[in-house]
Amino acid sequence: MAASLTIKGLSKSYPAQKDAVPLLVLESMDFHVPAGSIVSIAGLNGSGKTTLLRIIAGLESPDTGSMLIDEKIKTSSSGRNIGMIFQEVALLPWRTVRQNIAVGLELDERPKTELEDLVDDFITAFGLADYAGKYPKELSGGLRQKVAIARTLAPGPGVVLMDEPFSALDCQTREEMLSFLLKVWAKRQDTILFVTHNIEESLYLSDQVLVISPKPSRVAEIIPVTMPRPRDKTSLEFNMLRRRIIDVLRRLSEANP
Amino acid sequence: MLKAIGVFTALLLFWELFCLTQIIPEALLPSPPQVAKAFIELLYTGMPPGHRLPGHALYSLGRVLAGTGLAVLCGVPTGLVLGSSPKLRSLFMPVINFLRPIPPLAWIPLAILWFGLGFASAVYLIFLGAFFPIVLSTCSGVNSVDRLFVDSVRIFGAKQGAIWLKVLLPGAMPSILTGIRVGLGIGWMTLVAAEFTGIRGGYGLGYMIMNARDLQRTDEVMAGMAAIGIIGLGMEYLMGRLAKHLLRWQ
Ligand SMILES: Nc1ncnc2c1ncn2[C@@H]1O[C@H](COP(=O)(O)OP(=O)(O)O)[C@@H](O)[C@H]1O
Ligand SMILES: [Mg+2]
Repeated sequence: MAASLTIKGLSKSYPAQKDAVPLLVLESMDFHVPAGSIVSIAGLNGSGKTTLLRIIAGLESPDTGSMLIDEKIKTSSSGRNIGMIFQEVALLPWRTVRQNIAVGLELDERPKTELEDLVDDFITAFGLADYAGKYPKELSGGLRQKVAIARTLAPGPGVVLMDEPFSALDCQTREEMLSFLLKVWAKRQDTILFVTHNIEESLYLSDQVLVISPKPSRVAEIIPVTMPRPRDKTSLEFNMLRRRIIDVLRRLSEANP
Repeated sequence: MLKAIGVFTALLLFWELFCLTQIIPEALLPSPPQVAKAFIELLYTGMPPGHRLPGHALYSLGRVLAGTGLAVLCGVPTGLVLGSSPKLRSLFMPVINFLRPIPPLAWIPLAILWFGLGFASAVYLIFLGAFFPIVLSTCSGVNSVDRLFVDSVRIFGAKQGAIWLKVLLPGAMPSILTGIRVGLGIGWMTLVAAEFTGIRGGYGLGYMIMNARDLQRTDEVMAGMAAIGIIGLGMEYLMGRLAKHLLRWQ
């Protein structure tokens, strides 16, 4: 189920607004996300993280570059088998929790019984039974993201993209969601590409942190994280890695003011 | 609600007092009790005799529902398509904006020429009155749907058809319902006026009022007007309930 993702020479610029030069956002990005691992992309706000994920998801097209899923080149946006969790919660407000989780399966044209069973499984596993009939506006931020995660995972995507999914949550809820995500991942071993500007979050979750430079973005440094999970944020190793990423980011923003 | 009823009663009282002064002769401005009596007469005897108020009301309602229904069936898909294509919008909006200010009543001569004096003409006129508000509100509803919702289903491989059905239509539903409400109101006003001018089939509230006028029954004219108002109020109330139910997610 979980697939690997390889990005090669990916560039993207946005066309010039009046009397300005085109904005080069991504410049020749290369990286690899092994199947079943969590890779984080850490970069400052506005450095092109959302753009990158939207291109991988097929919602926008790159200027150059190619993308491989399980070592096979993907061109068309259909059949990519990629899931994405958006920075702003994108649950459909007119659908209940249950109907939101079902939306990807409906579009997959799954048989009705299989669909119902799968949705039930997710509702139980995610502790959403009490909320199945509720609408998104009736849920807390954390619950909404849980529903968004369930909706994305339900059709069984090979690669899951997460665009700062927890950045709008308060500290405590974010902690809960991070360990919830790890629990889900430990069971399913999805391939996750997790984007964040929060260094601690990236170190807590991932097998690798890719630090990207601001505009145009390039992968500046790949930092492997080998600490066993669950990770202790107060440990020496954790803080040394945090220090290292902060230094890289500082160097990058000084080089590119 | 109670206060609204209070205002209503106060106006009736004022009207009654005004009638008592006899500034305007009774034949021109009947008092509320006289109108109420005429209303009961319309219910039981009818105008012309034998053609009772419920029959008139049902015929008028049937016409307005058929016309508005047709306008919904044509207007919502049109609005969805225009709303999701800026190119088609720029092509067709000028035509729509040209046709829209022509009052449906101005179409009566053509309607009668094309469809005769009966049901089809009435439905056509109501359709014209209801179609444009429904198209425009659907169109603006589609435009107001957050692109993020579209992306959130595109990521699952949704094609344009699924995007319309699963995102744009439900997302535009608040505006669509407002459009239908406005369209129904315009249709109702158009209909009664059309029934005045010649769309008739023995029944219809406008037709009933014209008969009462020909017989100098001002009290029945006003009772007929009250019936139009009451039914309009009822439709508005039912549409409100429907909207509340369909939009409970808001
Ligand atoms: N559709 C667009 N048109 C023009 N510029 C855009 C568009 N989307 C994003 N940008 C610009 O690209 C840069 C990167 O944006 P984004 O990918 O959202 O960054 P991040 O997610 O890292 O905060 C920003 O400067 C932003 O203003
Ligand atoms: Mg972003």
